[in-house]
Amino acid sequence: MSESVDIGTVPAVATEHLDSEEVVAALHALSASDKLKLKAIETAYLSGTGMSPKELLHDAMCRAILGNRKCPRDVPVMAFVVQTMRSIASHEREKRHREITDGSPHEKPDKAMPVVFASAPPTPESILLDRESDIVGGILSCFDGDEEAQMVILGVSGGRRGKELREFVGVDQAALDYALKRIRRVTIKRYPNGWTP
Amino acid sequence: MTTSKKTAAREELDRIEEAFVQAILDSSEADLREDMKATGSDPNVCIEEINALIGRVEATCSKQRFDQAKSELAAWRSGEGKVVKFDRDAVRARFEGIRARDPELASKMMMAARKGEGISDRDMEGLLEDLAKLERLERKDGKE
Repeated sequence: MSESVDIGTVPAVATEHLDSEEVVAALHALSASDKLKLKAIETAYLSGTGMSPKELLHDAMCRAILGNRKCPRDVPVMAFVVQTMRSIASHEREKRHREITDGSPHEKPDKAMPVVFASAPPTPESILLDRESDIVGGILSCFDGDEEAQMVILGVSGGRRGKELREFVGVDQAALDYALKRIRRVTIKRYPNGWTP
Repeated sequence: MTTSKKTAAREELDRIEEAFVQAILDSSEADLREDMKATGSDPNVCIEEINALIGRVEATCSKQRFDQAKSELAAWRSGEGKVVKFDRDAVRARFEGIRARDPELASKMMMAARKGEGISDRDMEGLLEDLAKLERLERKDGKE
């Protein structure tokens, strides 16, 4: 008597990455909280990219589904989309940065004119640098009189995280979380479309 | 200074941004709703917009896949799938050269042929086409 084999129960060969149908299913399964997070994170990453609202999120989801960037099976799709948005934003900013710094024609000095050393004309790169520095200063100035918030901004911008950041500011994690939330809310009001140099 | 190098200020902004993103990821839904209302947006409308966006993303991906399949089919039709004309006499001359250099080949072909009468014109035609196709593939590989 031959044994019947139910091919429906044969397990599929597990791959290291999610296929497009699995990515689509995971996107549909995102919670309301995840969707609000994706929107807020897109707004944070959008500045300086030249992309329009929802374009960044749209591109990141497309890349995940089409497999231009493969989502590892052990990484939540939510985290993967966030990382993809970060990567796209970084690439777009870099591109715009190059356009600004390389785009303007550099005029050759006129040989007949005397060379003046006192005030060299600003280059596109120095203008960009000034603008970026202005934004960091602008964020700090939003918190004049709020030393704790300013310490958090300085700590974070200096690359401190976790315990090092808590010790730098001199607060516990709950106070740090609250300070970050406060800073984010004030910054969103000051820069509703993100900071674009 | 190279233009692609990040400025110190840009790096500071990136770090602040990453801290904000982490704060968003750690936020509760209630906090996120509150944040959104504070900027004058309706969180429920936002959720609906993201749902609609997922639908548009699906449609975009389906179209891209379809377009890609169409272009692959067109490429196949214009390449391997299409009957390509070739110089029959030149290919036959090369084949005769190969046969002359390999004494076993003639007897093997005789054995493989029907009724021991040698290969038919139709067989020879197919063989020349296969040889021409093989040469095309070798040339293509050489270019890559």
